[in-house]
Amino acid sequence: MLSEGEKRIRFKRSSQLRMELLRLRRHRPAMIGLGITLLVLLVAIFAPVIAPHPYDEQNLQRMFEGPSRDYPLGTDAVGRCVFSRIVYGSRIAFLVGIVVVSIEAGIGITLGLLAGYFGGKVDTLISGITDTVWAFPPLVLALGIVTAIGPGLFNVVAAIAVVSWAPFTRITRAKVQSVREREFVEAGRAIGESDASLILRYILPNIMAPNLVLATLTFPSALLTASAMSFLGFGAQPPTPDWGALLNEGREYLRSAPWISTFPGLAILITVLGFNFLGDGLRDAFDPRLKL
Amino acid sequence: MSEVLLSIRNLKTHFYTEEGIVEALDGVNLDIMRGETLGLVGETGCGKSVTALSIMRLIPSPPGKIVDGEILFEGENLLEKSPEEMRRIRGSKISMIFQDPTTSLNPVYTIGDQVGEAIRLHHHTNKTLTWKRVVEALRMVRIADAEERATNYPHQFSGGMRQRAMIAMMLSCHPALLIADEPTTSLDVTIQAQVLMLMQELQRELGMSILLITHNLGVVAETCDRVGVMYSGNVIELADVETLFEAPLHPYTQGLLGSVPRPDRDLDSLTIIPGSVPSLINPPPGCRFHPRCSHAMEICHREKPRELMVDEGHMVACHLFGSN
Amino acid sequence: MTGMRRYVLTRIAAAIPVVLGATVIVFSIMHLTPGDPVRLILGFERASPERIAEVRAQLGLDQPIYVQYVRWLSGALRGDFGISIAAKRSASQLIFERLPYTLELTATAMLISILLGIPLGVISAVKQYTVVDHVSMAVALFWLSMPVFWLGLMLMLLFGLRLGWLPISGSSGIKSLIMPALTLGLPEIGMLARLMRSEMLEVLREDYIMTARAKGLRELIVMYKHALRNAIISVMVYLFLQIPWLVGGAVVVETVFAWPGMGRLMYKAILTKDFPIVQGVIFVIAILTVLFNLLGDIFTGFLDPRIRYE
Repeated sequence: MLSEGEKRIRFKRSSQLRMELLRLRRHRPAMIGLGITLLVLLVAIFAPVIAPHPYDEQNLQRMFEGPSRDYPLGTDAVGRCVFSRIVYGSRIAFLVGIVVVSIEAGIGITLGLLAGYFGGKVDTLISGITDTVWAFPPLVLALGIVTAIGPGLFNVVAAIAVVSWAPFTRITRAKVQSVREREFVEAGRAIGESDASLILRYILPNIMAPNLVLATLTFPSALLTASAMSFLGFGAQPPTPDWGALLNEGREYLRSAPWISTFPGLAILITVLGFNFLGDGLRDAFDPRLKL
Repeated sequence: MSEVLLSIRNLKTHFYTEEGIVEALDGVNLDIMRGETLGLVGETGCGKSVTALSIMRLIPSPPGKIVDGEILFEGENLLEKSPEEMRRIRGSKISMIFQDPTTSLNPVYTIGDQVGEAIRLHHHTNKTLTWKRVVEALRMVRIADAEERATNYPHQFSGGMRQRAMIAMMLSCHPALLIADEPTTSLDVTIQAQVLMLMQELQRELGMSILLITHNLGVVAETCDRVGVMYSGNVIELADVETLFEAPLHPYTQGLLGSVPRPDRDLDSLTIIPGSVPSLINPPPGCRFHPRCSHAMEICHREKPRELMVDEGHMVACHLFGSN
Repeated sequence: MTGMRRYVLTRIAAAIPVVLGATVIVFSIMHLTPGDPVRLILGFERASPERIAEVRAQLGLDQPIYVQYVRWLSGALRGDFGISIAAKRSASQLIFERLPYTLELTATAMLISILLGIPLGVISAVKQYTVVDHVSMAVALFWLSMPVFWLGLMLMLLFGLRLGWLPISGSSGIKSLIMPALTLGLPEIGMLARLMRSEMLEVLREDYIMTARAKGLRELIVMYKHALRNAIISVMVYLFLQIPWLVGGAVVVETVFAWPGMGRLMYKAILTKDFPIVQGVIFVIAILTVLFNLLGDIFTGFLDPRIRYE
């Protein structure tokens, strides 16, 4: 049963949300970004329907062909359809992005909650670790990790996630610190609510919005970093049609068959661009003051 | 009989925003005489600062625009001047000082630099001469150790000193008119008195006029010769200080004065003006004060009152004192 | 200037724990390997027990872990990262031979991004809400979304292969620097332009800008002498931080263009699991990060008198 106060807070929050969503709708680049993102998502979901060929089907009679009716974006070194490989690659792109961001957010938010809520030595320790890890460019550290644990898409995902959680921790910690001081938390503590309950009921809902915006903004860089690592050969292994790996495959044939590398890269660019537009719009709609 | 230095006629300034057109000034009329201190009072949002910025033509131009009226300064209409001409007037013929000296000074340049910049802008001068004038200007505003102080940065000055530095900067070229927008509001009470006294001394020394914008009636009583009361984009009453305080005519002015506690009068209670300041996007028709006015008549809802000279030098814009 | 000295010293003191923490992280990398690192390293060789023991001793893996850490740390702080497994030469020698090339590339890339990015941001802010603003920001977002490796390949395709204007690999003179520098520098424009714009907008809202106009200054002077001078402070800090970041990004660019820098060395070292080199490069980058952080803070102290004269 909700108290009167809680009902009023929920109503205020929902009308605030409606206003923010309205602001989002008016933001033209954000809508373009949303369109692109949804398009790529649809391509990923309906890949088997959209792709004219299976992504690993080789046709050694028709290697290195330029775009044609059978093969809309041409074929690669073993006669696979570039377009189909890109289409299936969208699944990997999404998967990689979502998993990386999820793990990053999971680690980051948890640490941020602990640091912000408990303060003191816990905070110093967590903040120290966060700042130290964040001192490294993520790509470099991830490469180091992959040197140790070996190549592979899963390894790349894990490596990136494990070095890039700092923004989530920072935002969560700051938010928790500001919410912690508010009266309803004090009140809850006064009646003897447990820490866990306080965190779940009051603090968690308040930190969700900026973290969601951050997640949207982090997705593109996760995708770019993972693609870069696949491009270097440390990520997805053949025949997995990861876009970065596709670019790598086309490298040696750049002069004779440039389409093999050109189109997958374009796919990365467009997807990342779409997410960035969307993320910008979300950030402007929800809190333009937030220096994310 | 002193001459008119600045004459504002029917000034209308609008701001074009997402929510609508804000009619910040709706036909302001004001005269400033040479050598006088004219106060401009009113609540927040009544248009005092907008008037000041309009005179200086510093209204930020994407949202804002001066849509009508004229501002005659020494006989010439400022609204018809080119940007280049206006720039030559700003800081040298008409100067303006702002409310918060902490944020109004550039933190990365020394006080000497900033004052010197104003001097170099409007005079032909060299480095040594500029420096001399900077030190003179700082001494003029009674800053001790002027030579050393000139090499300091704003954050090394106290609030009162910063405002003096601002005054030095803006008066270094001996303008004919100084517009002071809430110059003492951000200062401690004791410092306020010092700064006001300084301004009055400088006024006598330089023979300049001051347009003093404030919401503090006490400051007005102490320093001004005449005072205008603004409400919601118009000057609704204008008179010399004694008259306004002794015998205010406009219901709003009466309410305003009655709401300030005064040790020299026995009042049973303070006046409260009911309601709140109207939105300037859809202002009420007729007299903008009528929704809150206890004397509102039928005509007040329909027609905007004209400005009437009720007495020698006493203007009111109210239907109670004569119909249009 | 004692305020300045105190400021610098506190900054240095704060950096030390970060450096130590970083060394722990870098050191741990090699020990993340599941299984025996030595077998992993020698994986491509059919290794005799003697060879295994030899490498193990070489890497000091026969000692307890804290001893290893101290040994590695003392070596690293002296600039000695051990012996490269594959090249059988000093890892640090290899690294420091190539570091200048990477720095050359990074510096040029930085220059490109500054020359293009800062004006873009300033113009955007000055002409806020106009078409110029919207287009500039779209351009910035475009570069922000650019995959560096793809840009490199496309530039190589156009200017190297199709037009033949520029060499596609190696480091023979200025011409071979152009494409790698563009590849590394152009994407940076995005972030830089956006930051510059937002800082300018904030500064333009400040009261002292109004004061400057009230003095009668020309708009151009207000913009550059007063607004930009303040806005550039935060951007400076960011620029300093970007240098080590670009050094990291150089791994990809150097690999694409066969630029003989530290990044390419690292790439090859990863392929052969040459841990001393991998760890050495990461360590160098970590030190660069802390160093440039420090330099950025110090420089900010110079630019912002409020910090200097506390």
